Amino acid sequence: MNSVLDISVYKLALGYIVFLIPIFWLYYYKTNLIKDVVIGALRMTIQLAFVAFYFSFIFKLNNTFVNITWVAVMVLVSVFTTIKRSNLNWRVFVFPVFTAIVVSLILIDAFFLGFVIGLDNVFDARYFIPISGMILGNSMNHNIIGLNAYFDKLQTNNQLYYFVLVNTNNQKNALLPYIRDAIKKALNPLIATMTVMGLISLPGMMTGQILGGSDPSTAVKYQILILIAIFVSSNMNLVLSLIFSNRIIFDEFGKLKNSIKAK
Amino acid sequence: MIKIEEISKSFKENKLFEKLSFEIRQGEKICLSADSGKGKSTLIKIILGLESIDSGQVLINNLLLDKNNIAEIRNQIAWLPQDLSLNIQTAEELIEYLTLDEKKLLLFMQKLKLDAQLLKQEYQSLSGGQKQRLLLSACLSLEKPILILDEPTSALDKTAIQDLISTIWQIENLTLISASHNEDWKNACDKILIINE
Repeated sequence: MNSVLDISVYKLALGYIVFLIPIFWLYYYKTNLIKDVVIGALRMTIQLAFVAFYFSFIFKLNNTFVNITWVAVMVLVSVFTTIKRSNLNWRVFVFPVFTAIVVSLILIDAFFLGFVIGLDNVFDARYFIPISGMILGNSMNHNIIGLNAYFDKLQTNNQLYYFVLVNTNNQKNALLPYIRDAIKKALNPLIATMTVMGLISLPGMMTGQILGGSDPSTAVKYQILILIAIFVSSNMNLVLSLIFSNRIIFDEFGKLKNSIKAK
Repeated sequence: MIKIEEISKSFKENKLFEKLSFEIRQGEKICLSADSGKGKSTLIKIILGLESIDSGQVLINNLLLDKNNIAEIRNQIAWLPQDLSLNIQTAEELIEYLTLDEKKLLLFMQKLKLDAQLLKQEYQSLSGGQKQRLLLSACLSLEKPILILDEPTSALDKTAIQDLISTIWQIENLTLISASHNEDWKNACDKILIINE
């Protein structure tokens, strides 16, 4: 393979010039989004600059305790972002969402890093941190879609729930249509992505690896594993979040508590 | 036997009922009567364990309505809600969720003059009357000893109401608690219970 072509800071800055194109259209159509785009781009730049700095340091250090701490911080951010963006009461949901994320991450990391890739040390910073981050970030987005769908419907369209609950005395049956709907809404975009993968979309991770000098077949193999891991963890994360949440959001009569939504 | 003993319920300053008491014997059919918004649906929800009470108690077949007995009580009740807007694609889903016996369901659908093909149609495309008769058929096919119907006649015409009355009144020992403004329905009931007076 060719050696990697580095990008100078000057050329990276030049890349920002293309931002002027969407900014023009946003201004032209008076979308009020220019401020958000500028803030978003600035945050992305600063956050990724920090990541580059931290990663260089952490990869060099490669200390198991530090790596686990790093991933634990990512888990906490993921938990609070999920709860906040699902508009839920964090006091009620912190335990179920945290448990769901941790359980699914441990299982997926152990299986893919330990068993499939077969690392001697699954906490190796070069694999453990970026792959955990990718799984957490992606499954968080799908979890938010699913939780939003589930709790919105359960709050605003709960006639079916109570109808089935009273008539069958079976809460599992009563929640089934709501869980189905949440899973479908959360995973449909991911299924669509997998379906067209390689045809009309080349995923960022694979492209990044190829640009970074990896052999395309190695990059593809990693990409396949990552996609499977994201799909499995998204599914597991959402289903576990729902199962754990269902244990605490209803009263003894099966009525949805009022305290579930953020104030 | 259903015993309502001195129950009181209010929402903030609005007192719906105070120390309300009545009894319904096994097999008796009663109709709750009150102006709209005066507590009929709330009283039904109390009996179903979906609404709390400020004081008093409810006994259903000698079981006190509380968290320990709610499962056993609900096993004896079939309920038709007033709001029929269920988020399902087709009525066939109800067979799965309510674990209905399809043969029994079809039998009651036939009695209420509903075509079996209706089960495959989009639920949202059904008329109010079709939805009402469909859900009534589902409730009846559960064959529970207590039937609670909240406005079961609101979307039905005179003939459909007569079909429903003759179907329900044929079932032996069925205890019925209903809320309806329909005169034919009220006349068919053993008792009309006027609440909030």
